[in-house]
Amino acid sequence: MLELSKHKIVLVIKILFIYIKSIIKSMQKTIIKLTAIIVLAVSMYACAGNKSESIEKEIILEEVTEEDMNSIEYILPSPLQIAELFKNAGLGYIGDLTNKIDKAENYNSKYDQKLNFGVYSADMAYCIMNNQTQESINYLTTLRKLSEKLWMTDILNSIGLAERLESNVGNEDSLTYIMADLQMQMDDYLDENGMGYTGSIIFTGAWIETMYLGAKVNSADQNEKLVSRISEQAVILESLIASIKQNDEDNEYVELIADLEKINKNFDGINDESNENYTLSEEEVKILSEDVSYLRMKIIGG
Amino acid sequence: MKNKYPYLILFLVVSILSIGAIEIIEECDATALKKELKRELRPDFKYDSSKTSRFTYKTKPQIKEIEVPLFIGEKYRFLFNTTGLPLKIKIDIYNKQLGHKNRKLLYTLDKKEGQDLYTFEPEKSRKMYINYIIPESIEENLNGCMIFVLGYRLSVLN
Repeated sequence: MLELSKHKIVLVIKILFIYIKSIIKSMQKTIIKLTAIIVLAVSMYACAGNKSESIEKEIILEEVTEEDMNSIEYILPSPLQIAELFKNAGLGYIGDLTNKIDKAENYNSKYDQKLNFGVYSADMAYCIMNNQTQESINYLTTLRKLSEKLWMTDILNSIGLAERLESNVGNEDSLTYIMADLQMQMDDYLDENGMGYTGSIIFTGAWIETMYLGAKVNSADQNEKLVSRISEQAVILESLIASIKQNDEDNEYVELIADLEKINKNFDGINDESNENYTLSEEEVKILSEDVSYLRMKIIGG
Repeated sequence: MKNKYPYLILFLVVSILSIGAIEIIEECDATALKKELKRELRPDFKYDSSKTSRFTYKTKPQIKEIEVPLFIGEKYRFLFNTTGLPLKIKIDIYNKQLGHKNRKLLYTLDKKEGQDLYTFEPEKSRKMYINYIIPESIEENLNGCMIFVLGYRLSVLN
């Protein structure tokens, strides 16, 4: 009985072997293809690992040979904070100063779109803080259109901005919190998508527009506190220029940097560390205003 | 149907291996960590800006510096979230840039056991420099992230 079972087992094994052999034979071509592709995929995986290893080694070598191994990172304030500072210092509303919304159709390059997204953000903040409700909503609509071109649509939709603005008309405090939420969303979006450098360019547009509004309002009605806040912007401009330079690997912003550096020359007296409380004179504010207006015209397209 | 099985298996194998080939950079959920900090701003402070600093621990110590411009006379709150750090780092805040001979230490944060969120409110507002002092590690490919959020509260002028 046992011997018969053994015989049966051996027979079954033989049959299985023959069956598997026949399957392998029939799938030979398929197996060869499968093997080749698996080898290729494994090579890709190994290469990715090797590449990251070699990049890591490269970085270590680079750090070892450089004298200064530490790189500084820059934080830029929100345009909202600057706008609020100026408002608190006496920035009143003058109609028709802000950038026309119909110009948004002309901004076709990413360069123009980013800068003017900042410009219109500053204009929206200016209108919100001066209770210009319809203007605020018009600028929000314009920002939506630009954000589509910049693939940033989700930012404005995610916090129900339009509805919140409309339901808080006249409540400046709530409106500024809503603007702060928008800033948060934008920073998160840019960070998650590795677009920190875009934030610097958007900020540039907003900063130039805010400085333009501040200087224009001041020229209409001289205000010491406003001049003090304008003078203080020297602190921001240095960081802004450094931040753009740091990320401008493709030299796309050479001209913009040169224009900002020209404006920065107006702050030479303030950037001198021995003059921490230096405030721009009336003449210096006038020259600064001209340089800011010149760059603003270039950004918004005359 | 039988003939399609090998190709299905092949597709799965290649997909799994390909995913492995892509370097997974995001080892900390910066958005979630920032959200925790933003809660610490209310009700007195508004969100101003933030910085996520990602780094790899190396076999020698590192310093990462962040320049933070502040406006004179206004109030600020610095918030740090250290949840994304596998090894603790030290945080120093100075009034001048790294390498400046007269720089003064304004604040030091030493990570405490069981605490991940830290707050600092400077008494006097001026440009400040945050220094992350990252210790060395022999472990390869050890990554961490540090989240910083800045809040502001403007003084009301008469």
